[in-house]
Amino acid sequence: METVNRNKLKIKDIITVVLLALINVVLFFASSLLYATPITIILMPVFFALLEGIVYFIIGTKVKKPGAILIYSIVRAILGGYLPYIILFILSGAITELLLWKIGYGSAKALTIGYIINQVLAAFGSTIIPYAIAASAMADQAVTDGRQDTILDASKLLQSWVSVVLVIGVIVTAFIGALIGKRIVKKHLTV
Amino acid sequence: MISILSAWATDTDIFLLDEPTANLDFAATQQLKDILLELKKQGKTLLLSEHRLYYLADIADEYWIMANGEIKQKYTAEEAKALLPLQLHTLCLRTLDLEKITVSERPPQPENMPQALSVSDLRYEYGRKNRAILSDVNFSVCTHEIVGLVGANGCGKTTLGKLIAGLYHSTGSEIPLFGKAQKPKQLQKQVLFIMQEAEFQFFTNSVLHELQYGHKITAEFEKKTETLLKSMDMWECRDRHPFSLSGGQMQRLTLMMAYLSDKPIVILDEPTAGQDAESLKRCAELIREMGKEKTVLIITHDLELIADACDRCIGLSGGHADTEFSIRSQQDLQAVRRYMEYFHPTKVSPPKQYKERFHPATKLLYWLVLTIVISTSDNHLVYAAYAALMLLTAADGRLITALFGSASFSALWAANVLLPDTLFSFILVLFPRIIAIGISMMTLIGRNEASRTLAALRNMHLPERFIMIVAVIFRFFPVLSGDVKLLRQSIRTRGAFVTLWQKLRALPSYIEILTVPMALRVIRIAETLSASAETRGIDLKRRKSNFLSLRFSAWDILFFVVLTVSVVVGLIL
Repeated sequence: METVNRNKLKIKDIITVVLLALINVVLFFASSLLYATPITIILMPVFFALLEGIVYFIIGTKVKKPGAILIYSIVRAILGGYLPYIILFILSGAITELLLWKIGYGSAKALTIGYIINQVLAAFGSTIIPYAIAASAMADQAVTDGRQDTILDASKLLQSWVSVVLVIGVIVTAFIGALIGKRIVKKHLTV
Repeated sequence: MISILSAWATDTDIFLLDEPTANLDFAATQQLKDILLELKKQGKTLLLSEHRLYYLADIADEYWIMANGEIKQKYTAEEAKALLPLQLHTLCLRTLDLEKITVSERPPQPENMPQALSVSDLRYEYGRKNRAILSDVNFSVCTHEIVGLVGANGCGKTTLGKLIAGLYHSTGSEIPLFGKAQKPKQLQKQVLFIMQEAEFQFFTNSVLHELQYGHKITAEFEKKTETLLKSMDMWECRDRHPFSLSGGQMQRLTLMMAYLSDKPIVILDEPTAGQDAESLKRCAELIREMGKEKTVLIITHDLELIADACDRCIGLSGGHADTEFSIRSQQDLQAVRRYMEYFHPTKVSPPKQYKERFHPATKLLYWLVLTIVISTSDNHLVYAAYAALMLLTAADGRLITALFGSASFSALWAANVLLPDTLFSFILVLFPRIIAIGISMMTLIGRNEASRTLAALRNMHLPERFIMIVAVIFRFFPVLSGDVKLLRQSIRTRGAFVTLWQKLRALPSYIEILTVPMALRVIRIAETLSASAETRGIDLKRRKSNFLSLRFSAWDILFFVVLTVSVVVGLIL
């Protein structure tokens, strides 16, 4: 019974996780200029995969308790404001919780895998799905207007091609982001 | 003061105060003193840990001196008053009577020194309403001079310092250094601003590395840092993480960084908050030492520091530099003291009162509808929801936001009509969705909506833990945004990562110094916050009550109708 209690999130843990998650949210908002053009939107998931690892790893190693990464995911997701993004982000949090539960809380391996899954799903939610929706909305528009949809073919091709490259790019940068996170936790938090 | 009052509201008998005056000016300290006297009259027990002692002279019955974790000595009020300056010095105590501060001997300032900085007709406005924080500020500072900037809290001292350091852009004339007008970027290269918030200024993981950061490490430099660390009593903690230091030690570390900096002008913002008498002396000595090579401006409320370090003081009030004092004698110092004690209320116009027309639940409902609508590929539905949002923001009194939203939509529409089948058709589909999310989030947490939204959530009887998470988000989101700004200022003033290329080339280190200080600070905040939440009974299992009354009005019903109509129209089209 005692171990269960020790492993439960206390008020302090919740506040720590929420505040740390807010750092990533603030960085997200500070970089929201990247949303200004359709091209830089594609770069966003890659950029964030590199950036957000530090906070993710600090949470994972500072609060080694069930629920910490889930709370992070919820806070980070809801302030993203977009439904598919919210669902996928929270889903990734749940998967990581399972991994941590299996492998061990604070395990760098579990956190790395969790972080990569998190970033890939977030990329789907933030970029790939909105792109797909926008493309199909464009298709609807073109059909109602009775236009030949050459542009659509190009956009579809671009879409599938970009998606593959994007996912690979996100996996690579998320791995680097996780390495940065791990290194920084070792450098600053093990004093 | 708010925290004292909130503790008083819970009917506490014992108050523990930890350095309550660290950042307060004279007038605010006087107010605090009045509150403490009143509490004492009511029979409350007060226990203060403090370095500044002068304001306690009429309050304290006893002074206990602590060292190495134990109470070494106790003095009654009379005994403490009778202590001689030398005795105070050996006990590391600050003065109990401001009138007894003496001005230290210093070599006279050489005549005809060239001007390092001259400010003329400086103006700075803040916000859209053009409220001038500083107007027609005029003064000049000679090379190697040490000048104190004094004035009440909120009179614009820090803003003035940041303008000179090129961290803010002035609305009026450019600021000349050494006789040449400078652009903000050039100011940044020559002026170092040491912020009051010490912890934003550390980029590395040890005290020694922090001092070496950005310098070429030669044998000579190593010798210099060693002597410096020893003279500031920090040699023992050279390998410690800057974030593990006490507040006073952090301040001293930033001061040493300023000393080692290559820039000719240094601005120090409250460098001695939380320092005891001994370290105050050391800081003042280091500042005087700094003055041999640099020109120093000190923003301060600390009369003892002024006595030991400054050649001259400039008084700031009502947005002007209105008085100058040269610090030569005890009389000069008392004149500064009278200036600081005189209450200079900075005119603060009360924040604009907004009339809230909608119940937060209406906005929450809209947000939910929107998240579903934009996840479909139905353009007309999105446009209809967008139109409803513009009406909502306009009716809510955010005319500029509504105007911006409508204008950007029209622009996208026009671009698509003029250049069909280009990238613009894609943008027209994607961007209104993104803009709508941004604006709808703003209606929920912008202005003072956050607390109303929170109250609405509480009325829905959601779990208390969830409410707490939301409350922490709402409360700290603006704070952290401000913190990111401070952090970026500190990166700029230290001259690290100036160009985009430098940022990209060393991206991991740039990300590190952008995130780690924030994370470490946040962990500290979380510890204090949870401690205070627990002492104030947040965890108690009793019902929390709202002090905000929320009512649905005709506006809510009207908007509900508008939203339903627009969704139906969107579906039909």
